[in-house]
Amino acid sequence: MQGRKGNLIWQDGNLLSPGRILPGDRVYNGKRVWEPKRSKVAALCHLGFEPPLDNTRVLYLGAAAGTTVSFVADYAEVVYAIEFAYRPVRNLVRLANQRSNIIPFFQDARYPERYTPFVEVVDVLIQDIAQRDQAEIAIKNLFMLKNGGLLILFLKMLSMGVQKEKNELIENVCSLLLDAGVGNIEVIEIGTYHTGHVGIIGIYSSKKNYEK
Amino acid sequence: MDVKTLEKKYWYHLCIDEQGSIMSSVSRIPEKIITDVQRKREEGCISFHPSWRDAVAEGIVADRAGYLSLLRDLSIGLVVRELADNSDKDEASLIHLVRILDEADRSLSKLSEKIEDYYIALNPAELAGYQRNIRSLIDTLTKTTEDPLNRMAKDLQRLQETRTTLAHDIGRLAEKILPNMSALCGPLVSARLLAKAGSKQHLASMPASSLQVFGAGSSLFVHLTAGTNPPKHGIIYQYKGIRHAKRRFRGRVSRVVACQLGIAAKIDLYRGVSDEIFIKKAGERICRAGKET
Repeated sequence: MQGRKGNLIWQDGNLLSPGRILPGDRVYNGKRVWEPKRSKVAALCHLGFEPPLDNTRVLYLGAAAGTTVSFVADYAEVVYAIEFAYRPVRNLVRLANQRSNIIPFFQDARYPERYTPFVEVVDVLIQDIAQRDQAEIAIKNLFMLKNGGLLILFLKMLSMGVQKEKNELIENVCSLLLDAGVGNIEVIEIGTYHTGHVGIIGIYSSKKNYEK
Repeated sequence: MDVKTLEKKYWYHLCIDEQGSIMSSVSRIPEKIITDVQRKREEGCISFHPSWRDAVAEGIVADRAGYLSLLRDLSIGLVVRELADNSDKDEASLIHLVRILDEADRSLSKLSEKIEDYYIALNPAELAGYQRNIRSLIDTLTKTTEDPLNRMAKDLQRLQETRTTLAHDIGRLAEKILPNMSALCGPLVSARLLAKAGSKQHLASMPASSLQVFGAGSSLFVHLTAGTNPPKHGIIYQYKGIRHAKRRFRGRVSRVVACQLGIAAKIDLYRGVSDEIFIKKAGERICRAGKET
């Protein structure tokens, strides 16, 4: 498909990924298909927002078994993947053994000081953690993002309390992010592919904090 | 070491051993260096925001690719180490054994159900007559050698026996790891609670009200969203004191049991030995809760 911004590979409505094919991947024209139902980043791309991933340094919080990470790593230069659950971390390490640009950490994203010594300043911060304090976790990790870097935050609404109003929750998160120096915030509904999730995108600028 | 490196110490400075040789050529980082990195990180001695250009300038790595591959080797080494550090062997084995036991139970009941269907389809007369016990049905099948399910029936019987011995082993292990909880609500129920929580640490940090409805998540969330009645009990329903209590006392009994379990979980984590006085007192409370007032 022509006319789209970004450098992602599109063919006949399929989002493709140039990396080596892993077991379980659907293949189209010899390339891995990055399916929106399996990966929230792909869902964003299908809904019109394509993050600039080419040759970037990415910090991925909540990497899980590394499905999305493997695709992001196909495009990005290096992915720092943080995960804090036993089972998926095994797969993540297996993946990191195969791909030279995935650097796994078995750490809690609530305590960034435990992995920041190894992580460079990154261009993109992607977070997909279903926890009550998911916004706070993102804010704690913002300082690893370069000035003008991109924050992609996936919120699972159910994790933040089942009784609360959805719009109110999103507004709360947005105002928290705004205070932390994230501007140009955009909210993207990805409910069509991932029920109960919402994507929040913003540009981080550390300057805003100083001005206050 | 010059002054500059003393001021700022990055992770790659730790990957040089005593001889001053660089580890990037080997695929695995030595255990000693990983221990060192872990310790230095705890002390907060490693500076943030490393730069690969500095690492190249100092001659530690050749280029960007070398930097990344050294970092990846280190991080994989760290992950493996942390996985090992974080797992208590007894606890992990108990958790996985309980999950295997529950899976065996599920398979057994599914297969037995299918075999019953098969038998009824062949002998519809029995449906109208006496209700046949599934166990005796499998017994008969093991004796009729010409039946196609003969072997399967034998296997099922064996699986049933294996399951029973496994349950005994789990019970013994649970009594060792969770002595107080096992004394209150039985080793298997305690083991299931532990398996659901994932770790003793998590179990001990849970409030009693969570323990009470642990395992009844779906009905709890229906209660919170739709306003139905809240669940009275989750996994702890399997404890016979609750299961056999009078229906109208069950809520009260399970609340008391959960409260005592919450205390027991904390004793199990922090003391790890059976506390006779606590068990006696807790037992009395549970008994009192089940009686008419």
